[in-house]
Amino acid sequence: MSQPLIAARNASARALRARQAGASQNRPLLRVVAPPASFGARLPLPLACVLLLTGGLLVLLMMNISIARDAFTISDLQHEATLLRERQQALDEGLAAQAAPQALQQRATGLGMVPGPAPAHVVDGRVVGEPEEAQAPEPAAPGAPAPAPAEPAPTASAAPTP
Amino acid sequence: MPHAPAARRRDAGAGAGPRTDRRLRGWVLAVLLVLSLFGGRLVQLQGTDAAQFANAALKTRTTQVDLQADRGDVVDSEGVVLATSVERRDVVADPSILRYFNMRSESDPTPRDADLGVGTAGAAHELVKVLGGDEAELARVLEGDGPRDQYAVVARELTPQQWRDVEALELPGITGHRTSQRVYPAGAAAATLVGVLGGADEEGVPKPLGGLESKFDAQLQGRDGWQRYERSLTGQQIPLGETEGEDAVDGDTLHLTVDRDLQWKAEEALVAQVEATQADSGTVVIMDKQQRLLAVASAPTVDPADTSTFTNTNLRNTAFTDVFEPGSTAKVVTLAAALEEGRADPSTKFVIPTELKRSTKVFTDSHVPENDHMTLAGVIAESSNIGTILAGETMDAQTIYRYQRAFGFGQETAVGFPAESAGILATPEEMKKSGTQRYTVMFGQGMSVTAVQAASVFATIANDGVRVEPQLVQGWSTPEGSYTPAPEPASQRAVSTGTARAMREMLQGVVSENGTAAAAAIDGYLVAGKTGTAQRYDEECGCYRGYTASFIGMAPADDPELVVAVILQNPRTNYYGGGAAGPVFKDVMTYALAQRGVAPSAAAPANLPLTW
Repeated sequence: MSQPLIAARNASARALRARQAGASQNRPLLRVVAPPASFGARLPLPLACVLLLTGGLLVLLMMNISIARDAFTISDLQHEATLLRERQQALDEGLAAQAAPQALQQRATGLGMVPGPAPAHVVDGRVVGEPEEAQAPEPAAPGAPAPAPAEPAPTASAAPTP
Repeated sequence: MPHAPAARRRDAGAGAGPRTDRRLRGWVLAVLLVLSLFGGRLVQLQGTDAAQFANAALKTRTTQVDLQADRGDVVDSEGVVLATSVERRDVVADPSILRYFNMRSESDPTPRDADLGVGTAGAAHELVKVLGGDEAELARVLEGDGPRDQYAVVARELTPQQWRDVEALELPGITGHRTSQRVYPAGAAAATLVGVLGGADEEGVPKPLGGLESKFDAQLQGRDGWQRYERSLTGQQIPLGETEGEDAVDGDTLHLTVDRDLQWKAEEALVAQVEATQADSGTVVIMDKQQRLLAVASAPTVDPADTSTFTNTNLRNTAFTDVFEPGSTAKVVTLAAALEEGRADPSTKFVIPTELKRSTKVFTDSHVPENDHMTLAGVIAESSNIGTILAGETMDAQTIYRYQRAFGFGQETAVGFPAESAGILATPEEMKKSGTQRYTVMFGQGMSVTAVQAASVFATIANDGVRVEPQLVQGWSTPEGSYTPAPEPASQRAVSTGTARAMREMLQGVVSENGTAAAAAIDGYLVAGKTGTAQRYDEECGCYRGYTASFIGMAPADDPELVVAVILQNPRTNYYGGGAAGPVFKDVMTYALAQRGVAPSAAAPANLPLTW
């Protein structure tokens, strides 16, 4: 079959379908359309543009101001953080120096304290080890508070000494 | 567009005549000419040279700062700081500016501010209020090396607080240079273990001198960063300006297995005993039976705050770097091997001769025992060399060597401490050259070990015969706080549980009244340990000179928790292991047991028969 023949057959079929559709709806091909409601009546276009521009500029300005203000706030806070960090570092340093075992020992000795003797333990209801009194150091520094008599460990004093 | 106004102007000025019109035209032409010149320049600036000018402008308002990374801390097992870095400032003066301090001009010395002095003297007068010291001396420093000098260090290592006070004086030509100082709150006690940070190298990076600071330098150091940003005239960062850079990455924090209090106690007791016995050096190692090192004390030591004490000898940590002939403490390995191989048991009977000739050498004991009918338990309690040979020679050299390796002799520990020694342990093949070495290694001569290796033997016995590699590092934590534990240490069985238990019972005899170290007994706790009194090989003369006195023990012997090794090199006043090292062991072990809350022994002493 040749091409024109196929086209001719299809064309007639399309025309038939179109005719059938037109017949069923029965609508006029042209009609008068009312003009769309215009904003121009209420706000002239140039004014709207100016307002929009001004508004945009103002918002931009405000944003810039707030960003700049934030920048200053950040650097203020950073400065404050630095100061606080320095303070923390200084305090940590002082604390570490005071908490060091050698420093504690020195201070404890200065207060007239002595290392505790081996403790006694309570194991299964009986006392293991002899609770001992700590021996007061020989020279009591004048003016220093007298060292309190060393108490044996509470567990030891509570249990009868063998 | 220009047509419309021009037309209107012509209409409006129609009556003014052609003269006015011509003048007007002239003006317009002139204005247009000027405007076009401006326009042309504008096009030139914006179109062709824009990039160049923008770059120049950017350069003037861009500044780059270095962001210093903080070196990581070293902390103990509880997180207590052993080494940390603090911020410091070096104050630097520019004498070429300070010369004219408070002057109206370079030629007019009238003070701008009547309350302040002028020149370096005036500046010194202000500075001395904060820095202290001698004002005249300070003025001399501020003058530098002459009027052209631009760099004079005024003060070093000011705290940030002090620097703020200096800054508040607003002296022109005085700047602060940020540095960092390493502080060691534990002081000398942990100095050889943690190491110290020495002076800066050419790049301004301080170099670690030994210890863990040196071993883990790269991981502790972190990475410096930088930031480049646009700033205003007053130094304020311009928001939305170009910012680029790289953040500083702080160093990681190193967590050790060490306990700072134990470390201090060990160091204190050791230093006192080294002094009392006039020993050359000393070592105390405390570990638990999992071989986590709780204290590694070494004497002599350095004071981290005093660089004059930083000598090569003082900076060594003797526990890892010093090797010595272990002497009798090595008998533990020989007898454990004999037990494990089934060649003897604690009640095996020996008759100890006063002399024993093996190969070319006649061996003797340090003292003749009251009763020469000894059991194996008696041999170790009395520390008999001859008894050890009699028990050890039932095995060939290869077998003993195998056990010595299994207990960790002759190999570096997994700690990998800087300059750590592996000790010297001859292989059976090497031993063939000398006929006597096969016998001497049985009682710990002709071989050398480190203190950590020696302690490791006892921890293996304490841990029912399983040897866990000694550990010093517990883990690492990043600056963000995430913690990574160190990998699980390797562990390997050296001897059976039964052998380890028998060994612990035998070692209790050492601390008994009949043993060599009654001074090491602790009330309430069963102690199993061994004295060592070995001849000391002196490198200076290449001969044996002086002694190595040691005591290594564990407590409580019925359920061991802790191992303490005390080694004194060349003590002069008392060179016996029991007498010289025993009291330190008792002192340190008593403290450690109480500090770690170890319950006293519930079991009865083993009381193995020592004689028959």
